[in-house]
Amino acid sequence: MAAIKNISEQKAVESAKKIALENNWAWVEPSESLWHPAWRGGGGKWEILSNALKLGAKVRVVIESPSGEILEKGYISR
Amino acid sequence: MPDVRTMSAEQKIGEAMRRSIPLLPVEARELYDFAKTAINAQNEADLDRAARHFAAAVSILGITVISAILLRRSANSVAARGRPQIRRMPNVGTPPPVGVPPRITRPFRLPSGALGETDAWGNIAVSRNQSLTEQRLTLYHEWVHSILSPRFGPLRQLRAQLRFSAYQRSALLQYLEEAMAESYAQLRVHGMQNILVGIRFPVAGGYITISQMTSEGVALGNIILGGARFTVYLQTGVWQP
Repeated sequence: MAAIKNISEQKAVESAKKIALENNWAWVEPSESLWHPAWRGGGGKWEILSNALKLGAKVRVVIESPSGEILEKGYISR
Repeated sequence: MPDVRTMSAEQKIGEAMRRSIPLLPVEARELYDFAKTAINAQNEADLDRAARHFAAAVSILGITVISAILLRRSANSVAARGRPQIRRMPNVGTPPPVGVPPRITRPFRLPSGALGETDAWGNIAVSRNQSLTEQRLTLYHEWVHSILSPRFGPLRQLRAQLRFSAYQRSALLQYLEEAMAESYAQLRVHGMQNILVGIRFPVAGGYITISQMTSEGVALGNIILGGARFTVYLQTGVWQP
């Protein structure tokens, strides 16, 4: 049985993009989404990284699923 | 005691289970007595009695059996996580032809306003849409990324994939590479006065958090100076010189 991902990958990426826009951070495509299931089951975390093919101008957002809470957000300009 | 014929199915099962208690082996009874005493505890003495039953059960059944009984629900949740997945290697594209050195490009603007970036093969792009000092800082920063990229030699694609994969998986490696790149850039442009800016650069914007670093180990390394060893580590809080 697979772990439940209440927040879809697409929705997590959209949330990350929104955060980047709000903070005036450069969002460079493509992005990479990493799913980290919780050890005790029942959810997990989405980690979204922008500019996946290069180093520099990267946005990193960690979103908890299923609550949708933003756990971490950060940016590196170069 | 109601007539058996008028009892519900649950009542019948419950009553049969209650009557089975004296027939249980002593080890199972200890566990039952622990649960019953703990749930119905009214004072400290009751809790102490429950603890004695639990200790007896552990000594008879062993902690493995007790864990299996008490943590059954947790084990189900862990099983619900599914099979571990192997994360695929990052897509770094096709390597450039052999003998082609990394390029430095200076476009007026990079996508979405990025200041500078380096690809998996060491090719650098620095935006001209920033002050001259910032352009220099960005160029030196990206140059360190470029130097660390696999620029020639065998298994170039695999080495690029491994490097990107390690960068994405380890906060410590991210920190070390970014701090090193920015420290070098600050040192070249501003001298020693801004070296702390470089060391703080990856954590200043929240790109890497202290908690991530802590989970991998807070100590960054040792510096030996004049016979004394200094351990360099990061911690949250206000810096006090």
